Amino acid sequence: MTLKIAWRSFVRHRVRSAITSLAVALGLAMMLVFVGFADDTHARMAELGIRMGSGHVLVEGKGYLDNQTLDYLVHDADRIAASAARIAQVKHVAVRLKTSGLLSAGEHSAPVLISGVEPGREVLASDIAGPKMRVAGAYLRSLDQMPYAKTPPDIYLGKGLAEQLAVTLGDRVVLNLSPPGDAEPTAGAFRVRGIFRTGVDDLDGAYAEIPIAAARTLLGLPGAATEVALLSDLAHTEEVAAAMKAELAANPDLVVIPWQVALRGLHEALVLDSAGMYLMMAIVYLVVAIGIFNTVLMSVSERTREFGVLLALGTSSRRLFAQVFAEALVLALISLTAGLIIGLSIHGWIATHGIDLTQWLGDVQFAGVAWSGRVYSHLTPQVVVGWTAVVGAVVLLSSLYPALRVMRLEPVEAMHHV
Amino acid sequence: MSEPIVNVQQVTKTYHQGAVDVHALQNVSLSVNAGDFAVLAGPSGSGKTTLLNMIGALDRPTRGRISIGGKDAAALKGGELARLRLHHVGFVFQAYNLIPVLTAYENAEYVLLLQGVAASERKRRVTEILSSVGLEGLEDRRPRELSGGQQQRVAVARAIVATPDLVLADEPTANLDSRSALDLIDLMKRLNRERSVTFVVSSHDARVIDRAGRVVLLEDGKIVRDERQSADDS
Repeated sequence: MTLKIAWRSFVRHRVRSAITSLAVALGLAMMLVFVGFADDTHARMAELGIRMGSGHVLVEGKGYLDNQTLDYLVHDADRIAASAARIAQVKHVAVRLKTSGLLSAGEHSAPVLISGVEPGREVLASDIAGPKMRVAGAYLRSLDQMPYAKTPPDIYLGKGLAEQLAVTLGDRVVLNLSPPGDAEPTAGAFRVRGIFRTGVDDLDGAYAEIPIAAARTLLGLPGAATEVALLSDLAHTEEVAAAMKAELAANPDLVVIPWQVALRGLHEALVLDSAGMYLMMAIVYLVVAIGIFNTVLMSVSERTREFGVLLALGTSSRRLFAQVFAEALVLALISLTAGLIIGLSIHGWIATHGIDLTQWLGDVQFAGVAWSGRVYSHLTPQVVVGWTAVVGAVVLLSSLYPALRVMRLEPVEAMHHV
Repeated sequence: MSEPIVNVQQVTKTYHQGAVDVHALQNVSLSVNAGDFAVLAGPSGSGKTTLLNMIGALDRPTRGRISIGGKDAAALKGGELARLRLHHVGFVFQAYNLIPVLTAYENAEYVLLLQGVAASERKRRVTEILSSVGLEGLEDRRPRELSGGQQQRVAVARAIVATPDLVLADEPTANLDSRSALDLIDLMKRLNRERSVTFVVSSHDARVIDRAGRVVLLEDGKIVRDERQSADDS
């Protein structure tokens, strides 16, 4: 009977109930669309960042993260890469030796962040190495693939850097590096094998890759790397990090860091972006909550006399509370169902077709990641259930005060209410 | 003489309206016995409705004691008062006060639901009571689809369906046309006679007063006359 009265009271004021339900439904739908959109975008951005010369999990020398110098190395990199490859969720492993140097060609020179890589592994682990970002030439060859022993090794550099140095495919460049300690600076000649464009100015204008063997020779660091990168997927980052930590338990000079730490700027930007969205949604829900509160309070005030009669008939205050709460429950069920239908329909469309933001925004650089192409929506059942529960709770909490007010009614006064 | 269902002892009810105290009832004592058909009569403001509210445990006295079905109403808390009303008292109001979203059947069924009566028993009793108040065939109508007289019959059915010790009716004929008013009085008298339903009715309708077995006259919050009469059942 409680639910029967609740349902009929809901349909008694069709327009008012419909408007309130629509507000709640659109609030939920908006949240699902925004969250789906943001989760997908953020995941893609994180993957983009990770696949631009980083990894889901990195093994580094302890202290490298803060100092970024060659004093903190992974000395037995190949052995660690081999043990990393044995972890079930790890798809690819890359070994890198990164340092800064000076690249020159003729009269031109430019500071550069050099990454010594294993070409065969890097091409699987990094989008920079892949054809998607390559604008000219080919990717690096390892030294043992070179046709002649005396041929200068390959260098693969950013489009901006190539323009600064005024070089093109096949041109020679000279790389100057400073080995660790007191060793004399060294230099080596390289031939431009390929040019990439990521859309990120910092990478395109100051990043280059060479075979790791050449880097190790120039720096006098045989077998060393600054990082061993493990490529998995976002969902398994923690698992992979934990497994790698277990592998390296006996090696206190090495640290295992997830991408959130390695790419702190990107991670913090994504968290901040989410926080901004949630703040906006919180404001939307506050407005919706005020609307629900007003609707329920108005409905309760209008029916004070009716509640007085129910009290006179012997209805307990607790049952009256349940009555008002049941009405809020009906409102919640109807509006949440409508919200789910609207929200999931929009999500479904975006998840299938995507939205091409570049037609409005062009290439977007965000926290060191260049974004282009379509964005999609991604929702997990947990996210849908979670946000539906949150919106349901907003509806029910908004009706709490009116329900409590009904509990305090005295039958005689209530029945005289006009 | 049967045991009193209601025993009102030295009850005073004072309302505070700003700095002014309004004495709605002053040292009123009254007993209602099972099977009574008593009318609280008197002019407007004489305290009829206030006394009815006290007897029905809808309001608490400022002073004095009211026992309903052997229980001291003044000593009971909110939930206990609600239970007392649910199991011992039925109400008929001047403005019918049916639940607008429920049908005639559901309005009559509501109290039985609160009492936890089983579905089959509810159906039997509601069907029987609606038939006995002349509402057969109108069970599925909502209050707005019924005339004033029919609505008041639903209210009477709701009041007696749970066989309470007593039914309180506050000016039940005030909003009815003459024909409906007479029908309602007949109905209440019949229920009193055939089912021994105890009625306490507040009214200044002469037709109700003439048909009552007992008339309690109030003036200025005091009982000035309480006498039994041979009811005019014509």
